[in-house]
Amino acid sequence: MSAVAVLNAERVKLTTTRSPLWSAIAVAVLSLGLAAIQASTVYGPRPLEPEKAAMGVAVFGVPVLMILSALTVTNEYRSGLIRTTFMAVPNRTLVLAAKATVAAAFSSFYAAVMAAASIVVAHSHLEWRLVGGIALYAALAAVVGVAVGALLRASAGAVAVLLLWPLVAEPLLGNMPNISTQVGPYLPFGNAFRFIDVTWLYPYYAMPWGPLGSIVYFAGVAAALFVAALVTVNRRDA
Amino acid sequence: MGAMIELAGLTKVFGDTRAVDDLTCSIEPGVVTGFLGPNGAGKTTTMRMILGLDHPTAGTATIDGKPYRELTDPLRHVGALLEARQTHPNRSVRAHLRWIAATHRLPANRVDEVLDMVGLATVAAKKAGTLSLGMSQRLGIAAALLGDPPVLLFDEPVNGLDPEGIRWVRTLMRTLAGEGRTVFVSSHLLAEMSNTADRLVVIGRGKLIASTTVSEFVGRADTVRVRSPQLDRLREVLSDADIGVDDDAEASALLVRGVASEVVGELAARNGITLHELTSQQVSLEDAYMKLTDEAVQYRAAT
Repeated sequence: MSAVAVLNAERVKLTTTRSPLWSAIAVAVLSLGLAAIQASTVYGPRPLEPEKAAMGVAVFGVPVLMILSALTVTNEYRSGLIRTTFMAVPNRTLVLAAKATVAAAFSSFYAAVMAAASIVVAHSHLEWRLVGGIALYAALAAVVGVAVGALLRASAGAVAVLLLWPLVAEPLLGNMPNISTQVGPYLPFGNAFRFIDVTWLYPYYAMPWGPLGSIVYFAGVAAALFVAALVTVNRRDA
Repeated sequence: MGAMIELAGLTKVFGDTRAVDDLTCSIEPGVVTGFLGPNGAGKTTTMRMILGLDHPTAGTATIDGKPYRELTDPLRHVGALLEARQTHPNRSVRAHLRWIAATHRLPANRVDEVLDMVGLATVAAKKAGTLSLGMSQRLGIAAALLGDPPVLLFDEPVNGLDPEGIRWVRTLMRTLAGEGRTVFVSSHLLAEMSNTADRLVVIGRGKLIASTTVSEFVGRADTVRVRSPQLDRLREVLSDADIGVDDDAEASALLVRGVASEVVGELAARNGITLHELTSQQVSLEDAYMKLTDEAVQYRAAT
């Protein structure tokens, strides 16, 4: 049983259903649409800043890709397919690692393409550091998606968590008058947005670390969730 | 070619129910072994433990001396059909087999081979979710055969199949066993098992009731009807010999369980007991099964 074979099997799985296509369309509509709308409101000689143009990808596109990643796990639990998977590959750590790798590769590639496309649509200037940053953020978010999917097993629960966490819970906590300055700097998605320098609903905090520290922090959260998922899945009956 | 499945003290406890209770037996190659028990007896849980899906609370299940999770390339050793609809409804039939084949680097033409074998070649491009139950069952069997494994497990393979499908599954299982493979099939349809299986592992409430050949199993539950004017004396003699006795509907007769009529006759002669009737009552597999599982249930309830 080689890791490459398992990775290949997960790639076949991802590319033989329609859900990547639908997710890709949703992300494109959200990203390019937002970029176009923002660009249309720009007056004067200066174009839209690239961070603003790519906001749709970072804020709405990546959560959709995260949900796609989670569904690669929860769909298998719903149909019972996970048993076929674990019968073919009894090493469950290998299964989850392969799922996370394939989801991360797809998410980061597509997020990068969409970020670049958004910038082009908004007539802004391409900034490769931003595109690369979004790709990295999307890859880590995909790992979060797979981990949450494996921990919760149910699609509905995973989708709720993955939408509410970055889009509702963190902005709420980050804007609470009494605690926002203490909690704000430690919000995982807040840190990810800080790394790619996309401002959205979050006030500007004095973070204990720089942009690089921020993405390391987000990666740490993703890794912790992934390890929790590995321990749970290995211990649980399938 | 086949390999032995061995269960040793296999136990699974969910909360305070013992779903599988100290199961010890071995399943041999070259024959079809039926795995019988009423619904909820622990058949599926046992199969899941053999396949490394559920963790046993105690005991072991091994294939060729190894736990499933330690097999390298498990699908080349064991093929299993648990539930028919273990597929992604929107993935095509061929793609479903293709990813399974990919985990073991099986050649692409093997997918077409098994599709031909189960008669699904014409629907290979269809989505798995659009298949009928019988066709899903065939797809599950195709997946089990993919790695050409010497050991095969089928959980209720004929559930929901039409007579034609049932006959196909039965023939397939006999063919696989004939090739020297180990075939372990669970079912609660006894009539099916008497046609298909050579050996039986019978469980009730998670406990092993019998691990034997089909004919011996039926024989074990046979009863002998005895009529005698010295009924009390006969009852005494039989219970001294540790032979189970039931009262017959008729006051002057007894039903003797689990021994041949010869044994009863000789015992009576040796003790000078007059017999008016000594008849062996053949029972069907169904009756034998009901009788034995019933006892297991009653035994549990009494303690």
